[in-house]
Amino acid sequence: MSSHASRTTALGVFAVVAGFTLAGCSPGQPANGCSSDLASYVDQSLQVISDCIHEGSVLIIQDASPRVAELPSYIDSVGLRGNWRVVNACARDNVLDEETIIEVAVIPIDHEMSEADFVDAVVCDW
Amino acid sequence: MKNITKVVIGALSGLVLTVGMSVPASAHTGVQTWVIDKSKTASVVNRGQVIAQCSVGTSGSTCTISSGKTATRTINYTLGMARALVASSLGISSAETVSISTSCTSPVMSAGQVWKAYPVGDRWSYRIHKRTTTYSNQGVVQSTKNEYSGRLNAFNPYSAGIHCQL
Repeated sequence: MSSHASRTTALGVFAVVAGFTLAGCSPGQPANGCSSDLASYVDQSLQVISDCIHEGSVLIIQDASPRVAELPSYIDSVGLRGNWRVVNACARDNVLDEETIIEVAVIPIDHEMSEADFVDAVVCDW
Repeated sequence: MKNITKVVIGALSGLVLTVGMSVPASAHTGVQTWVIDKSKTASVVNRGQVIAQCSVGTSGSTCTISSGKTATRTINYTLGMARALVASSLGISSAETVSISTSCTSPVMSAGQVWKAYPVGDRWSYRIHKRTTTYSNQGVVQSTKNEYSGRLNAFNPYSAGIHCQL
């Protein structure tokens, strides 16, 4: 391959990679700007992780309200998930952008993670 | 004279061979299959297929299983009848999976209890009948063979059907 062809090929590869990077697409990351790091969803509202999981995934929600001295009251409604704070999370195979099972523990959004220990709030029994 | 004799003998031989041998006529085979003896039971909980399960991490809490997961549509078939044809005979889709979008919340649970979710749907019971017919080249039926399967089952999940229990 001539040096001119080599430079052209290299520039083309660079352009493609730059294009993908600007578009927010990187290997191993879910689409729509969602993080693939499960820990990043802890201490966020349930709506955030709910918007990022694969539509075919099962979402298991443990209401950990007793840990902050509240009675469990979680009722599943997509529009109300913003009223709950994720205090722990796990996912089978640790993937979010594929159909899988994700388990989260939640408390009411007006409570803080500093109020209790939530290390064992999820069981991840799969 | 000798050449003419050879020709005549050859022709006569061919005629004898033709009349004496049983040269089989071209045969055609037709195969037909049917789904028979159909029966349906509605709203069956398929406990052989767990969609998800939850053990509480906080005693005294609840567990919600929110499913966007697919459940498997089971259609059993045999005797060469295609899955799609069996599905069509039952009046159901032949797609392998069904997306289920619903959720269920447990009662207050204690440590050690497990909340499980199962798909709900129609269960079909049926048999398959296969008939193989052989025809002569003139279209005359030469033979017929009937075969019947044993009892077969199909499970067709509801898209909004989920059953949860401890």
